[in-house]
Amino acid sequence: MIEINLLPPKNLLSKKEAALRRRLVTGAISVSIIFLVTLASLLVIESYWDRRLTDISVQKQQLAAQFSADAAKAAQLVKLKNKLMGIRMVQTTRPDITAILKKLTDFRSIGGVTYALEEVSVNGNVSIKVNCQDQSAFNAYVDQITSPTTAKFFNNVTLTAMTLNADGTFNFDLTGQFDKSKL
Amino acid sequence: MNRNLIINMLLGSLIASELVAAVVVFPGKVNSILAMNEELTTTAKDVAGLKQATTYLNSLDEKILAGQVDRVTAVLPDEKKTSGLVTGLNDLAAASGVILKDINFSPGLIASSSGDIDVGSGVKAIPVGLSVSGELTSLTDFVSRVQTATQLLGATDLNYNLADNPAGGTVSLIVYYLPPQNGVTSWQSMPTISEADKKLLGTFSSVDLFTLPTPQR
Repeated sequence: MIEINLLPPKNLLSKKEAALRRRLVTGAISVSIIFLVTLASLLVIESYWDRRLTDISVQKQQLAAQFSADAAKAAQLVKLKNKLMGIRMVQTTRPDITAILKKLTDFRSIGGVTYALEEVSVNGNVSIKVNCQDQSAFNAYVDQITSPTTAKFFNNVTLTAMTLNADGTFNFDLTGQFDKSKL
Repeated sequence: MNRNLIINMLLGSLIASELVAAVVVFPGKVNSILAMNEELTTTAKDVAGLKQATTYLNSLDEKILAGQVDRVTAVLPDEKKTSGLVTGLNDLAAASGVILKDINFSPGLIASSSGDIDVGSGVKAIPVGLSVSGELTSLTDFVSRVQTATQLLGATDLNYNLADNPAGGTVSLIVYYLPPQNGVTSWQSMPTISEADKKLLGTFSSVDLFTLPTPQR
């Protein structure tokens, strides 16, 4: 069967234009919807965030005011903490010659020995003028301060200016160093 | 001009203008939202910190806190005060059977900071010389009491001369103090009292100077 188109060429063009129009209208509507939905979403999110930010900022201001009202208490707390830190530091680093003095007292327990002079320093150095009433007291004393047990904490022992007096007593100067970590 | 063409051009222009508007408006809005989100996160953290700080402060009893501060200040005073020290050392000496003959603060050490020893962490100390008489055993006991007294003191040297009449010597001490640190307390730097702090505080059961034999070492 033969089809004969009797319409003029102008009508054929209108069909093409109508198709283009449809595509443009569809595109315009789609783009408009996407644009408007996106814009609305962004505005809603922005507004929500803004409200939350305002709320939380107010809360922060209230808490900051509350903290400022307690500033004196906070200052006391900081002072307490600083003092405790300082105390801890001093307790672990302060000098102490008590342990050395106790050891020196132990050394004096040997009969017949007296100290004419003692000098005790925090670094462990001691300087003693010793008087022994006789040879046996001297031997006992020297044996004790040079024994392996004593040598663990008392080193660099020197005996100088040793004098044997007419009455049979001994005088000498003793210097040495205590290792405080081993006392 | 053809009417259809005009309508088509208008539709095309609408699409183009919407795209241009999207390119111009959307990045600005997105950036604004991101900035707000960041600010919100920071502010939320601040609020949480402030809440914690204020709650902690509220949980502290003002009187108890003041008492604790008094106690630690007795242990580590704010300043070089000599009055309590002289009385305290005298009491300790008497308890040990030692006679305290002289207490020597080097000239200028009290009034100025020239002779201060910087111990660290803000703690300072001044040297004090004591002239004493008594048995060596008593002196040893005295040094031991000094070392365990409430106020923090350290014995650095002892010179003892049995030949002196009466026997005695000198004891070198250092006296510690912690000057108050100035500055505004912020909630960010607000400390809390730990269990270790409470334990340490428990060892200072009195505000009186030199009355505690509690060993602190």
